[in-house]
Amino acid sequence: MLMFAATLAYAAASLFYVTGTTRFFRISGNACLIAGVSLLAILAQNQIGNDGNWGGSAAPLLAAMIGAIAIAADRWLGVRLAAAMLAPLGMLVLLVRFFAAPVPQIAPTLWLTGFHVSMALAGQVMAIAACVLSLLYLWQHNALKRRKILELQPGVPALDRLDQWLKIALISGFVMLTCSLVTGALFMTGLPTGITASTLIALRAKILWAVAVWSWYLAILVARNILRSPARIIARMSVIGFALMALAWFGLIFFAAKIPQIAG
Amino acid sequence: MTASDDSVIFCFGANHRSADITLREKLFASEGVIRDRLPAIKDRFGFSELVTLSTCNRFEIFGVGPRSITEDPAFSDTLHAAFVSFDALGPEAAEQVRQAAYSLTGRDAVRHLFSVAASLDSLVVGETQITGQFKQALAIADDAKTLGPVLSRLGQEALAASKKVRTQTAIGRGRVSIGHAAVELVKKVFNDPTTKNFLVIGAGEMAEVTARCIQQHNPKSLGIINRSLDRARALAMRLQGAEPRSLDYLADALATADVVISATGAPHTIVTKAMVNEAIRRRRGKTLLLVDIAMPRDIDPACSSLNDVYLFDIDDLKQVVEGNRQERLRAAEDAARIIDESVAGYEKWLAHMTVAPALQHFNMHLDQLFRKEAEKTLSRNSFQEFNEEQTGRVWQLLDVLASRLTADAGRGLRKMVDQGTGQDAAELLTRLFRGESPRTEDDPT
Repeated sequence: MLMFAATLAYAAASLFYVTGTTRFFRISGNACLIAGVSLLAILAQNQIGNDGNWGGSAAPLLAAMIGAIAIAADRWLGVRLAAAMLAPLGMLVLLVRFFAAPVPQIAPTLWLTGFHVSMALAGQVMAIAACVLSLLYLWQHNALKRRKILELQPGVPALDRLDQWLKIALISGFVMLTCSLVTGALFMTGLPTGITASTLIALRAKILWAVAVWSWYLAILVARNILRSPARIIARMSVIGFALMALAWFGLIFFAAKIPQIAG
Repeated sequence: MTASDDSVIFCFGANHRSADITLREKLFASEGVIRDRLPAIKDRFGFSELVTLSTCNRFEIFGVGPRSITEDPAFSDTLHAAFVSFDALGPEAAEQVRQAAYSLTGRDAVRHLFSVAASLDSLVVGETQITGQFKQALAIADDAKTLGPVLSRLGQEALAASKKVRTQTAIGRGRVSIGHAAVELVKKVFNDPTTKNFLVIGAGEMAEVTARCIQQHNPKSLGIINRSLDRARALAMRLQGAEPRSLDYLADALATADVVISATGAPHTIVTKAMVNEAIRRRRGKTLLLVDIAMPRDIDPACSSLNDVYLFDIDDLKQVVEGNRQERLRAAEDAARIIDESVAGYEKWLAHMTVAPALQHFNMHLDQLFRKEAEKTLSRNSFQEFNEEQTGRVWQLLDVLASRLTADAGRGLRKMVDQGTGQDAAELLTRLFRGESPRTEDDPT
């Protein structure tokens, strides 16, 4: 449970660092990360045996180190980019612990299943919306840049409005995908023992895609909110993000036959 | 098209097509002058109705005059005299007017008035200002008591047709001035101009026109930068609310403005790529829209290659303006069809009006006849017992009968007018009943 709570804290810190640009988001991110590192410290303390030897996994220790560096980089060095990259990395390290070596801890409930699936679907809908908005943005941007005013689509909102909507779609989509990813970790802890190796491979392929898509959207938000990349770059990245997601769908279809075995 | 048997609608005037701006300036008459002179001119020339439309692009008088005058070969001279007396032009200008003016009568005059009200005859086809000016002309004539039923109805029909043209065709869509086109372009980049900082470089005529267009959209701020600070101040004062700055402030202004419109007469580049590059660095990713409407250009064309910068010049805007103008001209063809229908509707109403005197006489004849007969009948002994209420009912019945008979006759006459035989029937009706006292049963004749 401590491990999962720490993962949640890292996830929240990641969201605060990459979605907002104000002081509030930065302080909130720091607070969440400090909480996560503290939880991991308690976990490490518990895993030291009576003989003084370390008896647990290295992942929590690695994640705690990453978290500490992120806090230091943000608070003392003022490098916000480092915190925005390291906090999600720490979260992924913790998730790997769940995904790579499933240890049954919590049985997935109906509520949790519903939450996980609805978050994943909502995140995908937001990614589709971001892609559509990006295409509209790129069309209008290209027409304006090439001074082809007559090629501008009538009825399409102004560029800054499209950009604003794109930002909302990206942030809300990223939050939903993060929730879906973290709750997915709980599924792994509830996996039945004795599942076949092929099913586990199929599941891990799906997870790998999900992590890849999530990482891409993380990169988009870092580029947008921290590196302040031009809006056309963000729009192009969003289109690529959607393409990645589409690939994940194909992957799901390809491995779909294996998925029911997990439920069994 | 005639207003009645013995009068006709006419139009006399000069517009942007027939007269240059110098002559149009001489012709222009203020609201007060028109109001003062309309009644005198109407009486002097024997017109029954008169309306004058005076704008920067036209000076026209629309009226209803006796047919006898219009059939006179010197009618044009009469109109010219009326026109000249209207503005008290000098002899030289009066002669210029003779060269530039046009006169139209009947259907041509009606059609012209419809076209003017619908902005089909405007310098900028589809502009909306003319509708207000036309309404004002009607109101002035009404005030001066020179507006009668014919021109009043004509004005209403023309305004209704104008509204139809505006709502059913694309005549009013798309901007056709450089200033407005620039603001339209801004709206493609920025959703809400009221939250954006605008900067106009230059203080000349073009800069002023554009700044006025911008001001209509209530920008967050409007800066005026000019080489001469005095001229910038003068323009800012005229615009009210604008902030004047000298050219030295340009680099800082570029860093804070969202939209920069340059319209100076400078022979060299004012805004360089290096300047914009530096501004972009300070803006931290905020979009900058540059619109160069100067000739020669004020903004280095290389600026368009910079990130977050959109640059347009006057040729780009002309492309939009020309596109919109073509669109309006295409729409004008649809509008002409609407005008034709409206003119036909008015023509029908006017034709029906020509039988109105005959119907009026017929109604009077019936009224007199019924009154005479009723008085005679009610004076007989057998009706002496009728009280006041019963007598009143008899009179009421006779009034209704007279009205019903006149209405039936009117319907029939109007139908015959539509078939082309109405005038003969109306004449016959008038000959049968006009000028003769109704005969009763007791008349020996």
